[in-house]
Amino acid sequence: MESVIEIKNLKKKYDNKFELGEININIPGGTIVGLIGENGAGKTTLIKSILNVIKIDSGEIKIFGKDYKNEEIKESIGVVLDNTFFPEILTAKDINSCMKGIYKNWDTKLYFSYLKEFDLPTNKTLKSMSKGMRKKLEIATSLSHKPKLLILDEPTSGLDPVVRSEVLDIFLKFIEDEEHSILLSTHITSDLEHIADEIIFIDNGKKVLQKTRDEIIDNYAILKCDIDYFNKIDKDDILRYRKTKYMYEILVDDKEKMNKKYSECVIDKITLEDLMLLIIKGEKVC
Amino acid sequence: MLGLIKKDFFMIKSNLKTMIIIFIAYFIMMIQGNLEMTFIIPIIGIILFISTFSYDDFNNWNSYVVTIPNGRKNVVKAKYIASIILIVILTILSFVLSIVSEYIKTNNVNINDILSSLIGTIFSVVIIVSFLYPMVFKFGSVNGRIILFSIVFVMAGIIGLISNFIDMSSIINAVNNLENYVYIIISIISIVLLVTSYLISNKIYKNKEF
Repeated sequence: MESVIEIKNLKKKYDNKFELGEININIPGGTIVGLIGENGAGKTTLIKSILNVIKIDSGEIKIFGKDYKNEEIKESIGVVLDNTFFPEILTAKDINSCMKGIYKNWDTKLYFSYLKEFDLPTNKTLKSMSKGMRKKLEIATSLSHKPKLLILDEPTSGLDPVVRSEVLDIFLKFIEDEEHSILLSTHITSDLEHIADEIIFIDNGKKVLQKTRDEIIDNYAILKCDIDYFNKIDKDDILRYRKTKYMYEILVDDKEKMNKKYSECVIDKITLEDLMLLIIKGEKVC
Repeated sequence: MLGLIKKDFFMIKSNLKTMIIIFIAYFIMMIQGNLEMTFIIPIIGIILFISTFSYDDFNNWNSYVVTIPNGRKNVVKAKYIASIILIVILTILSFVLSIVSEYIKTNNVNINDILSSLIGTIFSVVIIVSFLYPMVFKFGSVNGRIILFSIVFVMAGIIGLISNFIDMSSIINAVNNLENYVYIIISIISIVLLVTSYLISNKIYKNKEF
């Protein structure tokens, strides 16, 4: 599958020393790619760079094979940003008439059907809506001009579990069309375990890992053991480790090999959250 | 772009009631007193319009709007066009109100007086727009206004200083002597101001980060 988003050597430096450095990313078409990382790791900076909301210092970004500054491609991109962004004195109905004059493919019927599905009022100002409702409205808007690519920064934050699963279902439905792709960042990593095909992990402005979800789940594992056993473990097998109150948690890859090698230990399935925690907070064996 | 113009008008719509009440109040004051105040209407309108910038900033609208097709270009264009539309509508409204109030008051309408005062109003609104918008695009709605007011104060100070040495009445007389040409000159200055201001704003917004 061809790449929808291609990023080469992206660099962005802020005055306050935060730096997004040398990012190379390929996002294949027809997939849901999840962007994970700590707060302040650079997820939003990366997304804003792709959307040309902020200026990059150097590097190349291509979307649908075209330069990211091309205005045509924007017709086919649906956007949700981390902060709410519609003026609070507008109503959902106002937004419909505005968007009709903004996107060529705006579908009023589709928009109102999403509003109905999300249980959103059409005549109330956004000021009177909760944060979750406004997020839902933004998601509805991002879908209603029939985009091919959704770029979503924390689309599920502030949503309750019921609505969150509704929204995730909508994303899954969206991706049924093979031409469609989604890039979404989130700190609710369990969402990604349900829907993401690929995971990109960013830490401290650098890409730490990009793998398919299955690769991660099949390969990585957590080995749990006590201190005596920890000292016996081959240092090369320890990617990261963390000491908890009663035991050591060790991040290992090549799960099957580890299962055989350390058959007397508990080797647990990994969740994205564990992976994130261990990579960020875990220690390396020098 | 039409969508962006609509958005600005939807935003001032919520203030429409207040605006109408203010207009009626002015109208009544005008009929009762000798004050010629309908021309305040375009100025109030533009002050109201400036509040759309504050909402845009406050609600992070800009970071979204640059992601829409031609967003960076059209936002600036839409603000200027919406302002001009608003000024035109309010000018016509105040023109009508002036005629009506004059008629009620004196039964005698001097169109020329009304026109010249109206042109003065439009000119001052154009000056406000031309200087304020680039500032707001550059520094945001809060800082932009503060910076503009500071500049106005400094300029007023400088003019005050100069007037100590030069006789200002000679300048005023010179302007008065232009008579008929004065409207043409004002129109040309207005257009030049607006176009320059638009081009500057466009350049600022093109490279802005949100």
